[in-house]
Amino acid sequence: MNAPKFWITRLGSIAIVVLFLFLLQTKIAPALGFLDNRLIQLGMLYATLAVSLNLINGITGQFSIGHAAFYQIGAYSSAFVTIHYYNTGTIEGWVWVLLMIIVGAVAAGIAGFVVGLPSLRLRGDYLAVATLGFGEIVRIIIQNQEKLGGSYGLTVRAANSPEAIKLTQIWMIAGLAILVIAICRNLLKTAHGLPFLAVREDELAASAMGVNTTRTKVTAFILGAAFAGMAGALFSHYEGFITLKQFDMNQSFLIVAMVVIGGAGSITGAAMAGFFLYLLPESLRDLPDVSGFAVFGFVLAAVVALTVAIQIRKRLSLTQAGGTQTAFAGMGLIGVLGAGYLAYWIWSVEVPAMTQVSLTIMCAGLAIAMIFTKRRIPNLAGFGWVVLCAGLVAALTIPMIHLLQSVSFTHAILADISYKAGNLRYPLFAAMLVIVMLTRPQGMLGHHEFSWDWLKRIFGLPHKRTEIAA
Amino acid sequence: MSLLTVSRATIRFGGLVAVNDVSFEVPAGKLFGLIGPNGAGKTTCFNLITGIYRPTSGDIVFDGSSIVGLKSHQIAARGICRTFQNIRLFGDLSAIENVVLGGFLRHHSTMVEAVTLLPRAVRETDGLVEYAMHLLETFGLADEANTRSRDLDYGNQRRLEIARAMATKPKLLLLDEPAAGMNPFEKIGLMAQIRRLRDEFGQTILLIEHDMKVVMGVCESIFVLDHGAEIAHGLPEEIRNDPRVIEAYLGEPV
Repeated sequence: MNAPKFWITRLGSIAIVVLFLFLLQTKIAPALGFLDNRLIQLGMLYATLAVSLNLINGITGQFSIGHAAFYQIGAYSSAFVTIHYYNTGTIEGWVWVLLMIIVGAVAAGIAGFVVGLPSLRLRGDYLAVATLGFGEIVRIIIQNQEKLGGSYGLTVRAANSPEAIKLTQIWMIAGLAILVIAICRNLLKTAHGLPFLAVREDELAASAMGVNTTRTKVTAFILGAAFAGMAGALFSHYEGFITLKQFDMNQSFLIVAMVVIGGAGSITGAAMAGFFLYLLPESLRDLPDVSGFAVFGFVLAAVVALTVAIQIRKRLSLTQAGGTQTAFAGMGLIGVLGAGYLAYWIWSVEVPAMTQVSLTIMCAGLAIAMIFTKRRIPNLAGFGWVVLCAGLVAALTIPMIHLLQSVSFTHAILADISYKAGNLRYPLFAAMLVIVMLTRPQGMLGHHEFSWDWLKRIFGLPHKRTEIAA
Repeated sequence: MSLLTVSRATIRFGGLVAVNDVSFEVPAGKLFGLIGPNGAGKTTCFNLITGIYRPTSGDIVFDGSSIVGLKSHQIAARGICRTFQNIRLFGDLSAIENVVLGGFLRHHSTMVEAVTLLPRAVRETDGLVEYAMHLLETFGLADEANTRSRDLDYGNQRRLEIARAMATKPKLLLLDEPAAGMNPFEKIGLMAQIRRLRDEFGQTILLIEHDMKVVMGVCESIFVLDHGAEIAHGLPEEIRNDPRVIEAYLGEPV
């Protein structure tokens, strides 16, 4: 690469990022409501966390499930420094946040180094247990420190005032997400990413090829932890108040689930999974309560429908050209029209803008992807089967609800139960995880990265073969 | 002077003496064969040389200095690289990525340069990819450059492993049963390739192999192990006719 071209591309991409952050801060964010702003910012923090864990779990293959601990260390250490030193000097505003990001990164990075050390001896499940234990140790230590607020939580404020200070702006969070993604992506774009991948694939062979596996693993832990610490610093200065509950084991598992669903080893997969898996369940919060009959009726219907549909799929050939395939493809076509209509419908009803945009894009994207792929008929037939499942579930839910209501035993149990839709987020999330693991164990994107070439290949358009694309 | 000198190397696993008081020298530029029945300690010898095990006693001198106690990656940096008896490629990486990793040992750019994509890191990566492509061409794998190494067929996987080891530009190449699982036709190709490595790259090679046609065909000097101890060494003709080797390993003259 020659020098002028290098500077043009590098400065150009930085300029684009700065411009985007500027527009986000001054134009896009004010146009959205408070809730949407909050969802986007937390979604981007989760994307950052997922990408940082992906560096440890997906790229280097060290199964770590205590990632919320690094997030927590970043949040608490930066909050502690703010409480003691903010307003004592001349630094304030975004420069202070930048400093706090560095504090969080250093504190979490040191913790990452400490956790990285056992990874030299522990493999797989054993390492997972050790990191899980580390997460709990951090939580319990903080719980028993009065200076860190203990179980009461910590208000991020200046020493001389009781008011929480919320310095984090949306552009900082977006900037951090972009920075972390860029660092991981650049790492894999050069040969420097290969030792990390090699350690994941085969440690012994990697060391025989001259890879210092010790240093590689510890580096991955330090980097991943430092990124999470940065996110933690932004989080504490965004919320203004932090408690232990925001960093418990559930959070760790949520982040692991994001990485696994997105595809361990895929940066773009982790980023998208982090963002959307935080957003979609959150947007269920505002829905009305659901009765116990509806929930269990739906679950029963889903079980029956899937059992029937799987039997149908076993007996009929959807992959070979023929009458069955055509019939299913027709059903798929109806599903595509339905998805298109759904996109239109969501666009026209009153829901938070983020939910609207993401769901519309998903439905419209699905419809477009189904029509424009190379293997149109088989894909449509496969989708037709999904439509059949959905149709069966829909058709069976009402009779199942009636069944549950008419049987006195189930009626007695379920009559008084109703669920807040928001509380059904995690069961839904778990079901999604199970479905993804059963149908695509390698995660949505597997080890691949999202790229326009990849998209072109799916659609059968001319594309270039990638040379080195880990 | 010999490139590698193993002197009185011994390793015990509990009560089992896997390699017992073995000494041999591999001269620079030679094709050196290590043979013996199953369980004779051949692969253990390789593991001693590459630092996976540390000898209980004895010394291993490579290129003028002792390598006992060094870590595997340090020994690789000194210039010893190996292949494995049970293929150990980086399965999910493409063929070319496997080979590029082999060359990574010789990189100079730092990680900071890499994550900021500074010109030196990019240039170095391009250089490594180019060299890897050249190696893949040498081994007839150019068409498979972007195939996941797990999806390659068996013979190609074996060849790719040698290419990956060659990418580290080793002074000494250790091949652990490179012909295992190959058909006779592939074996002939492999022998030609091994000879080419020696002739074109001046590569010193230490080879473990069970296939006597391959061993006798390419090796200039042979060392025979049985039950962890040396029973013979010499030229291929001498080994072929050595009564102790025939009794322990060959069975009948080949």
